[in-house]
Amino acid sequence: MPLRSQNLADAWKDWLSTEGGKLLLYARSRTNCQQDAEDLMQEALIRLWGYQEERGHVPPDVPLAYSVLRLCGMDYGRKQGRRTKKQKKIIQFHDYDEHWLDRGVEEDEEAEFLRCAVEKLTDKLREVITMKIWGGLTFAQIAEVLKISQNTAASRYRYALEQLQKSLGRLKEARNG
Amino acid sequence: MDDSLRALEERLEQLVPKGLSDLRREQMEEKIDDLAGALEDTRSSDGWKWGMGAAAALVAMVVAFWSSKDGSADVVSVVDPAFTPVAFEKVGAGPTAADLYELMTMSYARRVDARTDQGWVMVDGGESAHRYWSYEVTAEEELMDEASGYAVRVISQHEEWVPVEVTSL
Repeated sequence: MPLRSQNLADAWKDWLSTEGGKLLLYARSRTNCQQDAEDLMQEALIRLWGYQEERGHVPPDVPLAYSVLRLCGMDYGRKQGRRTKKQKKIIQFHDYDEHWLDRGVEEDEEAEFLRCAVEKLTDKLREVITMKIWGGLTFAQIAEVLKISQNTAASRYRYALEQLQKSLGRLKEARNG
Repeated sequence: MDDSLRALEERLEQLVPKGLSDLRREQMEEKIDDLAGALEDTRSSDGWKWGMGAAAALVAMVVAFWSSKDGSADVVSVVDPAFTPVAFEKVGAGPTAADLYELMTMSYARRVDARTDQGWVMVDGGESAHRYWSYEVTAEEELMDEASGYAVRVISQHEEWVPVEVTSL
């Protein structure tokens, strides 16, 4: 492969290595399983490559990647059908030990509770939390990606945190009997 | 935002997103290689198109050059393989297209297609007699643009009048 193409490919691979995890987390929040999330990522990658043509095919910034991933997710949602999607989600939450966040790093019980609580947030709350906490986006960027106002983005974020805090509190109470 | 929510934020940040599986990462990296490779193919294709465009422009430039050189009705024609020249003869060397443009001359040849006697002309106040011959000349030039590597062959036809001094009648 010629040098320039090779450099470009290397830049995208570095970008994938750096941003892939957080984007996959978002993709996972819009799909039924990890494999579908990875399919979504791959589709988004191809679309992003096309979108970046006018910028010399340099790797995209993260907000754009989220926007494209969101579009891919919406297409995915339409294909799957919302009812089926929800049913499958419920089954998977209970039947499979498949989590969006890596459980190898944090071992304590509270982290486990928190992870479960994030997964059970509504889609709208979870995507804001995902973009803010793990994507590192500002409220302005989140607003742009989700086509909502900054205030709405900030409100959803705060509400999501409150929900998580309540869930965590309940889980702790249950644990303590 | 109160301290308990900030503490929760920090706790969430400590959770690490699950990464791509090794298999999928490999697949996506292969896809990236494919996309980058295809880009190079597209560039080559664009280069070819550009080269053709450059060649066309080159021909246009040379036509303009020959047309403006001496005001004669020169034409650029395609090579006719069936064409048999009357004779090859170096009649004279004028400036070539390569002299005016940054082109490398690969070959240059002129051939005389026909010669016509145009009669006598007295010059220098009648002291010297010349006989004029008109030649129909075809010049064939192969030029290469070093930047693009594309070569074109330019054929031009024009008429030249050559006086020949007559030393004795």
